[in-house]
Amino acid sequence: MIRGGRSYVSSSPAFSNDAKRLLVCTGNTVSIFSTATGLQITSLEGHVALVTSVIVVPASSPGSRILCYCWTASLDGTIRYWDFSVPELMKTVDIRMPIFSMVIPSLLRSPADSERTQGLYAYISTENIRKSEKPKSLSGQLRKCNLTKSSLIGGVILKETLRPEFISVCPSGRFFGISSKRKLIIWKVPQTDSDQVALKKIVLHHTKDFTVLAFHQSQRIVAAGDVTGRILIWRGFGNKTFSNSHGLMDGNSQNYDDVRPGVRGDDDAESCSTWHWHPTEVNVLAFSSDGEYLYSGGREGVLVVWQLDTGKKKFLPRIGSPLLYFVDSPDPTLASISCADNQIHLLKMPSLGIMKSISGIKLPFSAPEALKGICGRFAFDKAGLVALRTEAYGIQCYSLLDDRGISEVYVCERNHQPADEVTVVVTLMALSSDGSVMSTVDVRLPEQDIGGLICLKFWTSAPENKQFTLSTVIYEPHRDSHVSSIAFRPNRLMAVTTSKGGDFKIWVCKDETQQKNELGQSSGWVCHAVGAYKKKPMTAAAFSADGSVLAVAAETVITLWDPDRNVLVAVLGDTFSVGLKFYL
Amino acid sequence: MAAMEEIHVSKTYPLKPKLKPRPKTPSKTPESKYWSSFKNHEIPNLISSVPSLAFSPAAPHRFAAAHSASLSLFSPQTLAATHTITSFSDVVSSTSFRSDGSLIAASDLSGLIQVFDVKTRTPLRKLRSHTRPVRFVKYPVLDKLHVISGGDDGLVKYWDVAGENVILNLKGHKDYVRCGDCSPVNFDSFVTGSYDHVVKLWDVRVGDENRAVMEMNHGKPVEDVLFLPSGGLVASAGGNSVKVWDLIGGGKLVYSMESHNKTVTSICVGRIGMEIDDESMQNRILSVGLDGYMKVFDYTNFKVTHSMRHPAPLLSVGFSPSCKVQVIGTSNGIIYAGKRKGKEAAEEIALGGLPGFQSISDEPLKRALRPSFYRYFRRGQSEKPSEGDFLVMKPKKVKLAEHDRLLKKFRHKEALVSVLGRNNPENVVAVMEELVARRKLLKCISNLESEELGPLLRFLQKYSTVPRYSSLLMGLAKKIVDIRAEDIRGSNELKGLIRNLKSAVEEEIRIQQELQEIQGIISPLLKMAGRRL
Repeated sequence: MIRGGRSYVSSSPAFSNDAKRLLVCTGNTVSIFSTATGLQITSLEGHVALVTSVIVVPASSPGSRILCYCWTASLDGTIRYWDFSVPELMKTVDIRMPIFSMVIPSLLRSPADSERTQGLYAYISTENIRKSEKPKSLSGQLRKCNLTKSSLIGGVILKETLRPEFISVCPSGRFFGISSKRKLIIWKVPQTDSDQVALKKIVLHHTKDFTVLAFHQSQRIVAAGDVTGRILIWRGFGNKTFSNSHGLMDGNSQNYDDVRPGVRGDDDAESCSTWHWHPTEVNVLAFSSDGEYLYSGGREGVLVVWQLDTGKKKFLPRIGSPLLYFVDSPDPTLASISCADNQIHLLKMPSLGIMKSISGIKLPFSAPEALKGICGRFAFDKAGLVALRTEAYGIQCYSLLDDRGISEVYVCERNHQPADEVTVVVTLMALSSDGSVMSTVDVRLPEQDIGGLICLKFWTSAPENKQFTLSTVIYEPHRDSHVSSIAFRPNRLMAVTTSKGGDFKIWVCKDETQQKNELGQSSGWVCHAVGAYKKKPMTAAAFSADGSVLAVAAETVITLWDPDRNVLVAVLGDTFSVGLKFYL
Repeated sequence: MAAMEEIHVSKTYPLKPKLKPRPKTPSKTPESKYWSSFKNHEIPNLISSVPSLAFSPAAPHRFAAAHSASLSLFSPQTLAATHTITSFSDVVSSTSFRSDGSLIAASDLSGLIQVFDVKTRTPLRKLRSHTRPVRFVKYPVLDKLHVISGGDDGLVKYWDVAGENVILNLKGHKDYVRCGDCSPVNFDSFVTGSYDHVVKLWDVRVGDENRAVMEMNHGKPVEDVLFLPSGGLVASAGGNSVKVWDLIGGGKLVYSMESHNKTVTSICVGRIGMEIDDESMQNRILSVGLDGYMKVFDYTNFKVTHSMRHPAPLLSVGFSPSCKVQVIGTSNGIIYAGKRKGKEAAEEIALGGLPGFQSISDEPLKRALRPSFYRYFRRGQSEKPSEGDFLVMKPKKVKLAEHDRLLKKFRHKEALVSVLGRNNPENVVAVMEELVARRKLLKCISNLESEELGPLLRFLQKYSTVPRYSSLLMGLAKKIVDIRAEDIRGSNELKGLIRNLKSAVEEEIRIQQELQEIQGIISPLLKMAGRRL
């Protein structure tokens, strides 16, 4: 049995210390990809539920860069420690609570700091599985866990939220925080962490729901994105609360007279500025490793690079899908972005060029209401290739045996905006049995009854790389009625399309009809024959396995045709036929 | 491989108009490539029709064109008239160069034949004997002393040029003699063609002035007759056919080429080959007719290998012995001259390579570039990479038109206005379709200023009945009338435009009705024809 097609974007990936490998949470396993080739090397198997966090133990010295240890957390309630170069499971910590997010701030501390800590503490976001009878109970819990002793620290619940939240940690390991509705809650990690030490926290407020937050590398700057596309940047947060002297607490009132631009109420921050470029919610926020830039991205599929001091922007546009995560690697020239269409793009850093893509199977795409009835789903060929319709007028060719995307064809040459209403849809597609020819139908929906267009396209591919190139375009193959199905004839370059308008057309490739007697003649698909049965709408078509009989479903009867001479052979009686398939 | 698909990510697609079906033209054979390599050049402004063209047999192969009462000499390099001889009293009907190219004979409709020196253009001899218009005059291919001529008096005359007297008066044609040609291999024989449908072969060694050596019946009035280079075959043109006759086989018809639609007026021998003395050189018959076509006929395979249309009835054709120039004279005073490029350069190189012509500029003095020269700042910029160099390519930029740039910035109305100003209907429709896909077209229409509405209405009037665009534009026109009724009512200019649009639509409806009527007439016929099959 082959198992594949997992989501690569369920949670944020992580780079290995030498930036040559990328650890991606893929369902119950962690898959490790080579960043040079984009192919999978190995996987960490052991978790029995979705892996939600992967944290690579950073190298404390240049010599330890080759060390390959990582922590993973999963919904099965365990935290595991791996040597992913072998790969080998080293340690399991059982929490018995599903873990949605985990951070280990002390790993990120500089070695001088971490010597003072007695144990390794993780902060985890869990779900309270003991369902309370109250409908509005707070099921999300933020807990602390001692990884050295492999135990949850009892009684310590930092925060209870409605749902388990994603925890963000400061790259220097001094702060971590969550965004909960319209609040940011930030904790300071104590210098010497222990089981009992109390954590100080501050809360920052906003008028819109937060979606994501990010901490600056070295300064006390936190950035947060909200659902309207605004990015808020607080500078000098927690100056008062997190300062070491405790005696100043009563001096608060006089400090509030200071000018603190943009800071709401008595939030503990020096200033707050707002940037607004994104038209929709911000999903990605990350500071660059040198702290000079802020990366942001959202539903519209554009990665924006902000210069932190000036607010100047640079863009990587037309990624084509909502962005989910941005991860910087230890190698300054490499970063990755994960997109909602199950792709991880590896970026060449200062220039923002996409070097490689790790492409998972794309998510099924739901057609708009008007076209619900006529959309096909997948097409297979004999060599284990499946063609899927994707959102951006694309067809993804996915190899089932290799479990990876092989190529992608853009049926319409348009610039797709992920946030737009879908008006151009690829409704149908078919692959010939050897996978060398593909046929697609795309529909442009009319705007108030004007400008609709149906397009039938034939694509051919080179056998070695499955890159399809456009061979023939046929506008409005059945006038203005929709195409209801396409089928290829086995072993021959012949295809049939049926339409609700009551006819079917047989298309042949010109190469075959002329036996290539004219050299240099461009090949193309032309209509070979048209057939109709009592003007009934035709809903489905199929060829027999040897290609000698063509069956076309016309409302409630099945008509059998000789495809070569286009002669009606037989009519099979009344059925409720909708789909059609030859079983031989 | 995943690496292939990156090309698609973050790429801008410029807007492309819908594809048009390509006409099914067969791919070009090497021969038709050769014939179309004669780049067509129009020589206009001749006084009237060009009944005769002649090429000089001697390099540089100048050519002469008879038009009205004058004879013009053209340079084969520039295709411009160098000299014009005007000492004619009537329309010049025919002209011919002597074999060394130094003399030219020309006949006119007054019955006079004159011989000119090509260099000085002075008339050297006047041959006066024809009583009616002379239709052709020809210098033999090898003989320098005689000419033959024929005219409306039905006589063919063999002249001694130096003495200005007629040697032979050949009788036998029963109608106007229109054409004639001399054998390329024989001093003494020539053919003539006449409106009595007959092509006659004459031999001056036969003493009898009334007897032709051979007679061939073309079946139509003969317009032109031609010896093919082997000397054994004769081609004659008349009616809409060109016929090839075998003289050695006793005047047998070899083939009749009938691909012209109207009368073939002139034929000449064309050659395919790069060099003059090329072994692989092949001869063709070039024929021109009143249907405006120039056809190339391969008389060894009996196939028309190339055909080219000109927008006027064609009267005469000529082909340079150097295979470089091909000229066609029309009835409306235009000469279409085709010139093939390529060999002059080779000739010049050959000249430059001669000893003694060694140029002094073999080693040009290279001045050192200093910052005071402009070239100093441009040095090295046109440097070409050498073989082993590693090339760092600039990523290719997608060329964006103005409407593409505006669409990219989501400035939809500006994009529509900009493309309407460009006068390219395909792009306009493509922009409209893109706006439909963005659900913005109707919003754009309602946002248009009333002065921007004018171009749109003008566009609709012009193109909304074009079948390729009508499905979109008709619906759009309706919507515009709905949405912008107020503005249209408010402006006289727009009212006028709407009126024009309306009449365009009415015209289209009328055409459609007529077509339906025709279809109604045809369809029973087609059905009957189908039943018989």
